[in-house]
Amino acid sequence: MKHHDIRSKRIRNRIRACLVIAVVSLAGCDLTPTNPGPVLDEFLDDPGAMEAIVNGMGRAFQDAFNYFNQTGSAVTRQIHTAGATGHFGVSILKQHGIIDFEEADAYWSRGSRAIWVAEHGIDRFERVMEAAAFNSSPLVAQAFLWEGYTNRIMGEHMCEAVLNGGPLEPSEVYLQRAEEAFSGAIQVGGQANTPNIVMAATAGRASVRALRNDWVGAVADAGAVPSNFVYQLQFNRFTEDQYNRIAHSSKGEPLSSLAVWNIFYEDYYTETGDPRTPWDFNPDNPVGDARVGDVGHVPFQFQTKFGNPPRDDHPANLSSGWEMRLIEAENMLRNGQWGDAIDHINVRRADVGVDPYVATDEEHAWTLFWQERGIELWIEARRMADLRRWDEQGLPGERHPLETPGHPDIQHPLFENQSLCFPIPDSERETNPNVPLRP
Amino acid sequence: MNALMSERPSTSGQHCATSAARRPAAAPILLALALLMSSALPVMAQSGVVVGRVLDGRTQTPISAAQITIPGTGIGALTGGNGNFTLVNVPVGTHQVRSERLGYSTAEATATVEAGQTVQINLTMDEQALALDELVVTGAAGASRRREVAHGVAEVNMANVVEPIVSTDALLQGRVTGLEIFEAGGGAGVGSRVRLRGVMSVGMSNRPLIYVDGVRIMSEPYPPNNPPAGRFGRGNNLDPSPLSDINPNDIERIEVVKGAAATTLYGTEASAGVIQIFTKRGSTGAAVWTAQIDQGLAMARPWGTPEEPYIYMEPFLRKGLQQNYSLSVGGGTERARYFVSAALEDEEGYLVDPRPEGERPAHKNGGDGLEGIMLRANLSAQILDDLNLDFTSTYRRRHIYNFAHGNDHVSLPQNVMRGEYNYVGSADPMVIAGLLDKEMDTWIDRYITGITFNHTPASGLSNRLTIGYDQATSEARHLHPFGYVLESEGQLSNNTFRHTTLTFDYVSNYRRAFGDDALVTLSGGAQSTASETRNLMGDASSFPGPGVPTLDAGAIQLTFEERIRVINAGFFLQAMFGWKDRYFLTVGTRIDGNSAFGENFGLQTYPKASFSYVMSDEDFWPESWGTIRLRTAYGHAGRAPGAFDAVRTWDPVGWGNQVAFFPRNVGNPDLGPERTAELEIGGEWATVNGRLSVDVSHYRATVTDALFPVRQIPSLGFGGSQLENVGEFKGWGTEVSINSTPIEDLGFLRAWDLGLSIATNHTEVVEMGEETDLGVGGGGRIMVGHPIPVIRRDQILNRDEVAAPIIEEDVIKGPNNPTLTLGLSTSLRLPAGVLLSARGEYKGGHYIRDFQGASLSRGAPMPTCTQAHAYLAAGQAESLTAWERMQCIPVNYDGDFLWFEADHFKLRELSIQAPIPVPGTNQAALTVSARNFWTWKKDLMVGDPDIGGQGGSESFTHIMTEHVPAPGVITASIRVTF
Repeated sequence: MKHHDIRSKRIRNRIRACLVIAVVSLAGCDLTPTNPGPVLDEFLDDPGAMEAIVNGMGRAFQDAFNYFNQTGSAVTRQIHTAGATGHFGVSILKQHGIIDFEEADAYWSRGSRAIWVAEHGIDRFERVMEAAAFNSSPLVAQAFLWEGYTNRIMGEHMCEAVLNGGPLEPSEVYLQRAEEAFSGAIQVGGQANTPNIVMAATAGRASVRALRNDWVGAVADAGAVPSNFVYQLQFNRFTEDQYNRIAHSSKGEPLSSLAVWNIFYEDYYTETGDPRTPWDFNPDNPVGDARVGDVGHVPFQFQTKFGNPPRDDHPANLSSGWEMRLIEAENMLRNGQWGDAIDHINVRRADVGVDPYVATDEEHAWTLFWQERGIELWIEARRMADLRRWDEQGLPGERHPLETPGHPDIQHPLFENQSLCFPIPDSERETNPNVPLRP
Repeated sequence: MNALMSERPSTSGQHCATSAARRPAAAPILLALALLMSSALPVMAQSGVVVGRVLDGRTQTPISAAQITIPGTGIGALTGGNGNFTLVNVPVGTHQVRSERLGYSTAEATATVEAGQTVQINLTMDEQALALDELVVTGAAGASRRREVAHGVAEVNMANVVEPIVSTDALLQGRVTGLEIFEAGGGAGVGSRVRLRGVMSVGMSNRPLIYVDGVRIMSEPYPPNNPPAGRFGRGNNLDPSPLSDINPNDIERIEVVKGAAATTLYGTEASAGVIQIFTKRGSTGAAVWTAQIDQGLAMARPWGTPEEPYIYMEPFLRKGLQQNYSLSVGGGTERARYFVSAALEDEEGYLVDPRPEGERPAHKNGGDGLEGIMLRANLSAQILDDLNLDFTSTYRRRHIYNFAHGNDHVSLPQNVMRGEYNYVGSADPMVIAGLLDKEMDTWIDRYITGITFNHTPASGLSNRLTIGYDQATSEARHLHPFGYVLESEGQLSNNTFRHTTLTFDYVSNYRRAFGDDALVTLSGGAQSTASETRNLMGDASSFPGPGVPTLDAGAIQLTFEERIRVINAGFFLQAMFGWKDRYFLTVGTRIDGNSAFGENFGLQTYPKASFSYVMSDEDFWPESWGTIRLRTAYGHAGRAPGAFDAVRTWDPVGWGNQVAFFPRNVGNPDLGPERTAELEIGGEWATVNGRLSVDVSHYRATVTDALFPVRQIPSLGFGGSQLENVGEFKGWGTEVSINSTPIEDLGFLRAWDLGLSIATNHTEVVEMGEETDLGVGGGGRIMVGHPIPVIRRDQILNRDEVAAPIIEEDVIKGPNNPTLTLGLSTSLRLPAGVLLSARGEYKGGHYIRDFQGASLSRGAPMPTCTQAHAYLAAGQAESLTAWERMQCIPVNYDGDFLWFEADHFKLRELSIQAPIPVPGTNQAALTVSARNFWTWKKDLMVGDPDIGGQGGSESFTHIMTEHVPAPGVITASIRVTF
């Protein structure tokens, strides 16, 4: 019996000891676990992070470009909805040319992020780098270039500007900042020996100066860019937000949501075969993926500018020498040299193998000029700004019936009050105390 | 007075002596036995044996661990798991045999014993309407008598459940006042949205914590079977529920505590309430085997219009065979008890690929469905005189086959409902069926284990230590094979998800009585929960050719990884003062730290105080008025932010083949938990001899430092939102549960039971920092002075008039979550143990959006617009109603007009149970039940108000997308105990 008691006591003590050990070991857990994945802000000051920061600027710009390009192209009838309204689609209002406050946030937030990422990144580089290294860094030059294009696309598409939580400003301020950023890219790119960046920045600055009506500066920059120069935005097939959205919407699988139908470019291509506005048709996939208004199914005539079949990773032009020629032609038109302008344009038309324009008068020359801008820069996120300045500045020329709001030839109506810019959305107005609520 | 003490082994010395007596060699034992038998013979000659069984009066199921005595004789026994008992050496004569068990009214029967004979008697015990000495655990510091616990503890006792239970989610549905379970879809394995007292957090999860036998388990749903964000396909499927991993046949009871007043001791993560599941542990006595076979048919119930009840889905519907088999055994000795079970599930869903066999993939007989096993082994052992352990373990494996659902290009319901305007350009079912070449498989493995030591070193002193581990893993594989109709190059994604929770829970109680009247219980404890989520997802596309690919077969390969570890640790102190066993005052506090708090944020203190008063124990209370208890409780609980919410971070996202950083989170070093303070007042009353019981609770909760996803100014770059402790809102409601037996022993009717539960739930935003109006997705808004979330939309004032629409803009329609839930239950107890029962549930006072939006905006042939489309085709647009003019003409389409009053009633269950004679068994019963067979909708044009949205069952704003509703299921079940 005594022996039994001793044994029981020993067992009890062992069990209790085990419990105490368990308690102590569990209670001693580290309460501050380190979770991998997201990167702390201060780590980005490391020089090794610089390339990734600049690439982040590029990706942010690409994201903004994609959204402005697809929707802007639909609203300006460079491309037509094939029905889809949601994912990679065009909302009902936008199908009819209207960009509402409630539907503008996706564009605004992406554009604002792209600007902030670029400008914040450049500020960071300036803070952590020696001045000499900063001023001769190819990555800094590239960062300035992204900042320039980002500000340009915002200036071309937003009705007004808001920067860093500030008040409403004219959208012109984006163009001003774009010009400064392109100048920065030219300066740093020159010292960094990155001629491609310098050329792209020069072309970008020419386009911005034209938008700002600085025709002397625009023509000077344009003249420095050879006709065969192209600077493109790259896309890739990794994730949907890195696809070329217009290409993906035209691929036919899974989406058949944008078509070359009921727009100027449909007949223009069949009549001229201009390789700048190509489209195709696959009888195995004859119709778009949803009903279009009262029309029903529309023929799925898909653009092939971005590959045939369209490729998600097909690049899009951001600047080109041929755009520069159009800047020069516009300057001629503005100077009353409309015959010279048409001749200048026809150089390009000959280059692509289509018939030259024959203008009957200055008004007609302007009409052909606007048409040529549309063709040259087709679905490259540039048309909205053209239509806007055409309208705002009261420039001569006549829109094609299929891009004229309210025109009866249009099967799926384009409303009279077509939007030519994106409003500052509620998301900014309701959070930024410096910006009034929508009117 | 002290049920806790009386429940412990009263004298452990007896057991020791018995053990010691077993050790001598065999010869003395035989000698002793011979002596014992010889001395017993004269007794046996003058005595007999009483055998019998104790059954639940309502369900006729056996009651284990009931104390059987013959008063005044010292003779007694406990019933085993089959409810059987044997009393030996009962003196000849007539005796009253008494059966007692906590939670049940005492039952007595007369037994006339003759010498050397065995007499058989059966006892039927009715569940006590108000069992104040029953032990409850959840929300209390250790097991406490219900009379001492001042917060409401709802309980679901499996002994009262008649119908075969398809899942633990379904078991809880409509059985706990204030608990809402929305079955988010009809696809196989789809989980549910679970809410206790509605939505009380804007920024964080509103899902209650779940414990199984004291072990904290993952309560959030498994990830849905979707490709990674940014890859083709989205929202295909809803998320499987972690509750489904618990075999309902293993459950003994479930305790539910609902608000902060009750969950203070759980601390920082508990303000959404706690559900605690207790599994069976076996009873002392011989092994009791229970086998159950369920054979059911799952079928669609209408969710469309009267003309198109299934919205063109008929070719894709079948009656799915659902088979479940389970076998369990429980038993033990006074020193050790065990419960072991195994279950097999083999269920077809009601969706099917209409193509002939051979042309369709080998899904579950051509449709959706699931297969699985569930295993459990529980052991309770008295390892020392003052130390016992409870070991629990369960393993579940499940393979779910799904079709794509929701708002997605390859979604079956969406493509069917859109007719020819779908993504395959055809309404032909055989063409649409090409989408079903997609393979969606989810494998779930769940292992939960825990061990609890209960140590009682001295009278009144007890310690409890629980160490638990939960591992939930799922593999979700999603394949578009090479040549797939909408992605000819093919795509495969594979998401391996692993969530582990390590629980450590120590509680110590010291209980001491001072004289006859005073009682003090001092409690303290420390708990820590470490949870870790590891999510590894691979995605590949563009395969070289046909075949069954793996991820490395794709020309484009992507990987995504997430690893998040969150630790919560804290301790509590509590004191309970009792007086005259009818007044109980409890005060306590919990102090918590959490790894997700901001660096400027310290430990959090959550106080509590409560008072319970058993008024019916007062002398002035007439016994005929029954039993009444009043209670009030006040307490705080919290809810922690997410692991990364407090710090400013960037995402390494990549850009093509290059590295890239993207802004992710602004960060907030002051971030802390939101805090809910709740006052609950209530009481329980049982009267008319227990035939009427009423349980009432009223609560008022205030959430301060509420975590709001504060929108950032987009022009400042980060965009999106950042959690900040800026909000305040309040919630209030009343819960009433009435159970009655209006008729008893009336002719052939043994009894008619009637139950009614009423739960109201209201919320209001009081403060939201600088925000006044915040969209939270899905059309829900957070607005000061309004419920969480509130629906504000334009409204057609003359909806059904054939006239131009009159539109009122920005109308506050109302809440998105039900404000009134009614539960109705009734049962008829008929002769021969036949039981008829029915349960229904009404939810109302809220608004929900139906799923027609994306279809109507594209002019798809939704049945709600059939007439309008005919008028339009005939050029008679003037014949359209105001609503049709806005919704059936695509150019006018506006999603605002798809919000409807969501009031509805569902007949959840209709059952009949009858005992059947099966030779060689203790008990056998056949149950036939029908579930979800009838729904009434007040206003909703199409859809089922339980259906979830694109974001799975946890969508903050409850909207419907293109899912099919939960099935109606007819099940026949045979349960045999032997």
